[in-house]
Amino acid sequence: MRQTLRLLREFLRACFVEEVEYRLNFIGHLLTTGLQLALAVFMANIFFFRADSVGGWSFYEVLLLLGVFNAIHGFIEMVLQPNMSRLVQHIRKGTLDYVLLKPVDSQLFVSFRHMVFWKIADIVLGLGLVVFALVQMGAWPTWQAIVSFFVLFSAALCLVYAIWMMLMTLSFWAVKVDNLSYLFMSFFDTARFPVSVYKGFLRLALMYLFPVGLITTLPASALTKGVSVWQLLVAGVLALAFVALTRLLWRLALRSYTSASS
Amino acid sequence: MNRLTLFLNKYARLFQVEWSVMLAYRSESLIWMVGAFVQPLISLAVWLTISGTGSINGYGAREYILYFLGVLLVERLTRSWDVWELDQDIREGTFSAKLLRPFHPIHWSVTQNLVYKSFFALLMVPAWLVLGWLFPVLSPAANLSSVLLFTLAIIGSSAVRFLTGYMFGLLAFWTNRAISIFLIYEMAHLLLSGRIAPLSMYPDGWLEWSLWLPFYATVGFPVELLSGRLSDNPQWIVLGFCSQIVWIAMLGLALRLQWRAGLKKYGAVGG
Repeated sequence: MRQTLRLLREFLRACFVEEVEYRLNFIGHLLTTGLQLALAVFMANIFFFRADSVGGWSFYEVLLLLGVFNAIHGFIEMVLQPNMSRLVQHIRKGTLDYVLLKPVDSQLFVSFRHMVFWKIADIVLGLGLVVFALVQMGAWPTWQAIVSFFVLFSAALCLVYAIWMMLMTLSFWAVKVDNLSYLFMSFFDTARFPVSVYKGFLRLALMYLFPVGLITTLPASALTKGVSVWQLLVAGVLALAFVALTRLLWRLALRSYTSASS
Repeated sequence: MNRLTLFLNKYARLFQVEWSVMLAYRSESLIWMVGAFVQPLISLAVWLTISGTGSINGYGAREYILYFLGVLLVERLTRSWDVWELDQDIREGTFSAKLLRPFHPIHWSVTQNLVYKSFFALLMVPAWLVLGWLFPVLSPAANLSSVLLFTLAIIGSSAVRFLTGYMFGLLAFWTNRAISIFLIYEMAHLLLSGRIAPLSMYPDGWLEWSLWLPFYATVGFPVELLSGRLSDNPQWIVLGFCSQIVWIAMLGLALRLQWRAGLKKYGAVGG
């Protein structure tokens, strides 16, 4: 465990050092993210011009949800996208050999070695929007609510990681999975709104099949509507189960890996 | 052979080539198509929740469904994705090879657009016709003239969006952030063109000016032509087409200037 944490810290440091060379990129990136966030708030405004609530959520509650969405989206772009696209390349070209030869856990290495450090701005700005929405609502959450928010937020990160990891592990068997990440990002846009917006089968699918409901709606609920102990427990268990599943799938995939050449 | 037939011949050949390239990647094309369906469907879900069983400014559940089906179609038939390709070609220097061909590189992009858009149209139009036949609620009250106007508006809109996209792509001559600049523009387009809501959902008189920018005229306008919402005010129809024509002319001119300046700036990477 201590070694894992040290490795993670080293990866982060290496990526930071790499990107300090392109400092100007940071400002460019901050501007882009800020603008995108402003436009997302503007979009929420358009929907709320004709309604006081959307799916039972008020304007500031939806803003809070947008903040959570932005933070998780930032996590995907900072950690998952750069690493997962490299993993697909590694498998296609056979360079995964070099990773497997290293005396570190291979799943840890392929998942976290390359991070786009500046994208951390997305996460910070997203959480900033959460705080802004809380201040506007005027009701400061209890410490229990804050704790459950962080538990659910971490569970959401685990879930997102697990889904991506499993999708990309598929590339051991199928060659072209890059498109799956595009498809994931398109469907992930559904997480911009509380899951109560969707009706019938769609809502069930978004709650359990492609669990965006657990990823953004539930953490946001912790600070707005409140969540039950049961929901906390289910989300936690599900997150752990998903991560364990990636582990199994990774082991299985490595067993069938035969490198590219030879 | 005179020059025009020669030119058309070249285009026909290009079309064949690009068509077979597209067929080789048909599963990707389908994935791109399905992925692009999600965004309008989200907006539809939100509006259906907001309106409930009532209606807002003449839009009830049926009108919203028809409107966003229209957005799906128009979005697929007019969207431009040339930025990604141009950015990569210019950054990595593969653009040089395209410059050496005895045919302006823009013609390749135009054919690619024609190929993919015909492919999407071939899939989506029959699909909508079948759906409309199975569920009469889903068929718009369109007649021959509105379909004709719609087709014209689609062509105009594709031209506007293609020219804009190409200009953003050529920014890669100067900066390596062409794609992120384009994404900001796309976000504005999403908000102001009618892709997330019919124009009449916005506060009154808020977006009339968006008709004059390459926003409403490219998505909301064709969709509302199809749904027959504009048949009572012909001046909006005239304005919409005028806006498209003026933009095509201005963007075409600007693109020429930008192209010349850009080529001077271009130093191929890796030769």
